[in-house]
Amino acid sequence: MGQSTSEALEAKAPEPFIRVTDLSKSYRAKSTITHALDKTSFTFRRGEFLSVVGPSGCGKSTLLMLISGLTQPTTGAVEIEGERVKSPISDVGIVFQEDLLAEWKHTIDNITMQGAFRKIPKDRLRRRAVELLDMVGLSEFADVYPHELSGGMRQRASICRAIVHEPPLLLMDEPFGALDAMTRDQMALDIQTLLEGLGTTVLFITHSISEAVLLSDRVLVFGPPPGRIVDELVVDLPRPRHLSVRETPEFAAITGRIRSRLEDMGVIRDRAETRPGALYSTAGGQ
Amino acid sequence: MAETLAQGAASRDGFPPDAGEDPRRPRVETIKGKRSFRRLLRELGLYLLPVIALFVVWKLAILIFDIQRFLLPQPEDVLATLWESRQLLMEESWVTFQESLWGFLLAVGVAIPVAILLTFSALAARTIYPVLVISQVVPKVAIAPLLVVWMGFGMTPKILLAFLVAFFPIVVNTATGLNDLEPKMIYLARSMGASTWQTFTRFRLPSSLPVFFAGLKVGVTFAVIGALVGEFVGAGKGLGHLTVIAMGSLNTELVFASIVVMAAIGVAMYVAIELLERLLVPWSRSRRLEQMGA
Ligand SMILES: Nc1ncnc2c1ncn2[C@@H]1O[C@H](COP(=O)(O)OP(=O)(O)OP(=O)(O)O)[C@@H](O)[C@H]1O
Ligand SMILES: [Mg+2]
Repeated sequence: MGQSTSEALEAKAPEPFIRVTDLSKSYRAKSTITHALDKTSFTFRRGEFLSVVGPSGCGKSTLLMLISGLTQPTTGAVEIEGERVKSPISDVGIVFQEDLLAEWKHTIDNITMQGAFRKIPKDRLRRRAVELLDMVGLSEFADVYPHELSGGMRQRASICRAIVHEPPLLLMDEPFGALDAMTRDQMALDIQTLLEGLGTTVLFITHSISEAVLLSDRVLVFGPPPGRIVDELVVDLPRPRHLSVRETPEFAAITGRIRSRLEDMGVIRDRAETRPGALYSTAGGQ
Repeated sequence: MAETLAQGAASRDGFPPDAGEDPRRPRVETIKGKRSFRRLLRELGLYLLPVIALFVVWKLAILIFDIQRFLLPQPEDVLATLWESRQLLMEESWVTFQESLWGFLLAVGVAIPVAILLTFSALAARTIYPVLVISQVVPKVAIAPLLVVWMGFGMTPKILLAFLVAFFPIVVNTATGLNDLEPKMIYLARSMGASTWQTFTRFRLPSSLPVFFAGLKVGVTFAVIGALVGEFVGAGKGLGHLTVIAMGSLNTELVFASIVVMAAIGVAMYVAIELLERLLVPWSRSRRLEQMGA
């Protein structure tokens, strides 16, 4: 599965930007070991927008932590431009699953904080931050503390923080998770605009199949935990993509395939087909 | 009219005029003269209410139970004594204040490095915590006479007592505050290229401030109590000493007057810390709660 697409891509770009080989991660607690990620291998091209979809707990956040070098794998390796990641990389922007805004800093300072340790000229950073805040509709909230922001606003601010320094690699862990459907759509459009012409390589983790397809060049589908890639799809819909692309048959074909893969894996269940009694006995099984 | 509005939006946002207002942008208006005079009066009233209630109950108690003057003086007599003996009270409270302040500052000065040690060394935490807890459960009143015997009637044993009682709440809160940082923030700091030291100064330290200040508030009131305990046991000066003398001559008005001044010192120091907190931690949780109520 997915082998052919993978080979085709590698033929085009023989030297991948990021190579993930046999990556596994287990967490050890007192008496249990959780296998979060199981022998995962894939590559990224430079400038590629790669999405990861999969059920909760399948190791998506773990994958992000491993690629960024913030945690070390149990076995396997991550290589960026041929070099093995052994410590936290800093040429990166990360949108964590939680917004992680510093409560003691105004919104704008939360964003410019990204450059504080990187020796980027302050005024340039600030100008870019103002620009970004305007783009995501937070201009009026530049000088307030995060506790005055709504959940969605906080998340938008944290996205701005992740891209203000224009990193070559952007890792996003369910960045739109706390947003309502409409703002989500808007953010999906905005992300494309924000990254336009920057050539940023993106790893985008999401629960939303259609969001993944809308934004990505390629989608990795993870099965139930422990995480493993069960499918890989190239999305060759023309860019720039508008929301209306979701109504095209090509789009529906791709989302349909992902959904049926997840159904095969037992990740999505059609509850209508299950007897009410059986529902509870199987729900805990995954 | 509609046209000019649309144009205004366009020039501000760079959106084409037909895009209209950005729906994600909530309306924010500035309110002028937010803290009105009436509001201030209401708050002042809230502070005064319990004082007035106390006054009334006090007077009623004397009236109903026919309490002797040397047991419980009239509140207005206490007020009069406060005024008449102001010189004496000022002198004595200056001593008590100094003892409390030095004891408190000493406690803060020792608590911060100890708390940092507790946060960063598991070994230190395991060896220091038991000592802290034991030192906390030993009654300070019991060791106060010892300290006086060892160190004399001057300020030193009082400062030490103030330090001893204030230290525990401050060190525990400082350590708790330093552990208050969301663990994932450390990952964020790392990804931004912050060193361990920068992670400490730019993330852990600021995030610890609200809990740190909570500890200071408890500590500062404890410090006053510690100093007074020292003065009760043996001193030539201070409000505690004055109380003992006044009690000996059954001058209950003066006893009550000095109790009022003691409370005032505690309140003043507490308020000073709170003001400092508002200045340094404008984003703290207690401020947030205040805003919610407003
Ligand atoms: N620090 C940790 N210590 C112990 N176990 C962990 C840790 N982090 C993750 N796990 C476990 O690893 C598994 C995968 O977690 P992970 O956070 O990667 O999932 P996820 O795919 O991101 O899920 P979600 O979509 O709900 O965010 C889970 O079973 C989780 O309990
Ligand atoms: Mg996750």
